[in-house]
Amino acid sequence: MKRIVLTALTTITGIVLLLGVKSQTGAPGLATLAAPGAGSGSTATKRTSAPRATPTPTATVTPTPTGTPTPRKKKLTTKKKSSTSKAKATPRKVTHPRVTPKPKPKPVTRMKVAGQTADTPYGPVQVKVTMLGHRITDVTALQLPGGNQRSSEIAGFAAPQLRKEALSAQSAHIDSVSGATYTSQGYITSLQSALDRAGA
Amino acid sequence: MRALMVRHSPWLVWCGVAAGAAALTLLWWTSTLPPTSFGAQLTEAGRLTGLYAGYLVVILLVLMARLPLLERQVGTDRLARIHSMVGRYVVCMTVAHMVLIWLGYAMTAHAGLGKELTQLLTGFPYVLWAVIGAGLFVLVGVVSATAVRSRVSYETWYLLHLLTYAGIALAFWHQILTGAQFVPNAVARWGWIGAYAAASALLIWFRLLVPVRNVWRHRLEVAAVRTEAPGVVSVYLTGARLDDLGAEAGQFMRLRFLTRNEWWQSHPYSLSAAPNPSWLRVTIKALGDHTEQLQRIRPGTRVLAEGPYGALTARRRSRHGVVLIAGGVGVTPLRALFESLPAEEGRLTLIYRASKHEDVVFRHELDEIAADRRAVVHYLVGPPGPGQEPALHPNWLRRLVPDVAERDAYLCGPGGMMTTAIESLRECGVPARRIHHEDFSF
Ligand SMILES: Cc1cc2nc3c(=O)[nH]c(=O)nc-3n(C[C@H](O)[C@H](O)[C@H](O)COP(=O)(O)OP(=O)(O)OC[C@H]3O[C@@H](n4cnc5c(N)ncnc54)[C@H](O)[C@@H]3O)c2cc1C
Repeated sequence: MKRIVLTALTTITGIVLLLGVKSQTGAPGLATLAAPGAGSGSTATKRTSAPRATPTPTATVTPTPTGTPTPRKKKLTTKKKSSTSKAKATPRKVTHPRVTPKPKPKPVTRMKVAGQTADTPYGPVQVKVTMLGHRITDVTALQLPGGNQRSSEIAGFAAPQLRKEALSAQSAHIDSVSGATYTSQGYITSLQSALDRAGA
Repeated sequence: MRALMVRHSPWLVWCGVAAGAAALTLLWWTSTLPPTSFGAQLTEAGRLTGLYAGYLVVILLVLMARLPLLERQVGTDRLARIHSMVGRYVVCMTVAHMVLIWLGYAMTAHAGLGKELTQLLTGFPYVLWAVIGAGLFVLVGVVSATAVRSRVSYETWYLLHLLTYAGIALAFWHQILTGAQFVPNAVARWGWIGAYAAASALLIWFRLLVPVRNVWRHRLEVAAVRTEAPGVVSVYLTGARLDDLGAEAGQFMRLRFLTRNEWWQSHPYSLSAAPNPSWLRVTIKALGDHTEQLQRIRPGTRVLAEGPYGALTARRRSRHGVVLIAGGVGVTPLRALFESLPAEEGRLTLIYRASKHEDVVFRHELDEIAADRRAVVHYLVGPPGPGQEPALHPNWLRRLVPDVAERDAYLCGPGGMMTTAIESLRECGVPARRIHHEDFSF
């Protein structure tokens, strides 16, 4: 009897500890996201280290009011949950000065651009952005993980939240939805690549 | 090296088991993003418990395979205790796994518990099967619990246990098809499939193919039957290539007597004479239906044998002096050891406890062996009970065997007697590692 109680307590403590430590860490999980997907998965790692937006100064020709960094900044201050979102902010700020020198104006047009497919362990994610000039007016999901009921269930509640976040942030620098981390990472990756393409 | 292996084999086994669990934890760790909500944490806890349960099932399968190496070195009764302990643990982990996943999924999906349950059972491949499998585990766990176990017959218990195989098979598919660690990771998936396949192969090999092969190989049959005491018969078996069996004194075999009524049951019986190339002997006491039937077994009956199993052998001995303590029909393996165990002259003692004089079997043989080997036999006869058990009191033991603290002790008999004897031996200064015993009632 004593042994049973002891075993049970050890097991529970072990699992709680493991989860506690795991919840504190960020890096290893993100690294492995890239691992399973051979092809487009690599974009996921790139996104975390150096945002794709950097090499495309042409994209931000006509700065629209919503394009200002303010909303994003606000978001970061209100919701600094993970260290990753803070890390993301830094290189983005650096790119800003580089944006201004490009002079070629472009008419404000409406365009729809599909992003790359990002592989997640639960299936591919692909989104399409609708841009009005430089403004993101809509994000729709072309593919979401739907391998099983569970995946589509998660994708079903995560996608609207991610869309809302993206619209208010006007960028791909958004937080992942808790409980749908892989789907969020894929969504963000695909969205970023769509924005890159739209800008190029 | 060999001696080292023998002495530390239980530890080696435990280290192997722990290493596997650590590897599994590492797999989970590297394939999991930090959970960011309470629901996600529940889900991850559910995944962990599921992984551990699935892993322990592999261990259980290996334990059930009756690997000769484990049977001989760890010992069948100890393996059985480990088996029941691990079995209980698996049942608890499985239940925890189901509940945690259910709650975790419901919370992360923002769904009601009822709705989530239907989703889980209908929307996921093989989850319904797995739940049925888990139900079988729980059923077997309940029946094996001490309180219930004593009220069901051995056969019911045994047949129900066979259901665990069905349970394992039912639960397997959802692990591969929905497991977060296995769906995206082919290496982990194939590793997992491989572990289950290997364990099943061992099981089929040692519990099915080897015994069947042995039917042809050894062609065991009943050669003679001799009554030893009221309700106790010795059955002599002959066959081909008996030394290939590698049997040792102190071991037992699971025998299936191929008669019309008894062929479907296999029961364990100790070898009651040191193995030799021409015959094997078991001595059977009528305790129930089956053993009652065997009292009238006919010469010529074919016998299917599994084994030999058991670790109560000469290999366990670490001192030159040995004391053997037998109770009732538990004398069978000790009779074989008494005959063959290497021991210093004059330092081999058999204490034989029986409730009636008629119940003392092998009296003649034992006296003869004692004379031959300059060993000593003490018969302690009398009904069991509070007034009589002092026969195994430490003072008595010291009087019968003055140097008992310096010897190895081999015990076999009914549970109550064994407990008393072990306590007395410990009190006389025999360390636990030098007390070797076999339990006749699993
Ligand atoms: C390692 C070992 C060695 C044994 N050696 C001998 C021996 O040399 N001589 C001898 O007479 N008996 C021996 N037994 C006991 C013998 O196996 C049982 O008495 C026999 O199986 C009872 O069968 P039954 O159907 O007649 O009795 P039941 O009425 O079915 O059972 C009587 C008792 O035996 C137990 N039992 C029944 N079947 C088995 C089984 N297959 N395995 C384990 N326990 C069982 C039951 O739990 C019950 O306590 C040994 C048992 C073990 C575990």
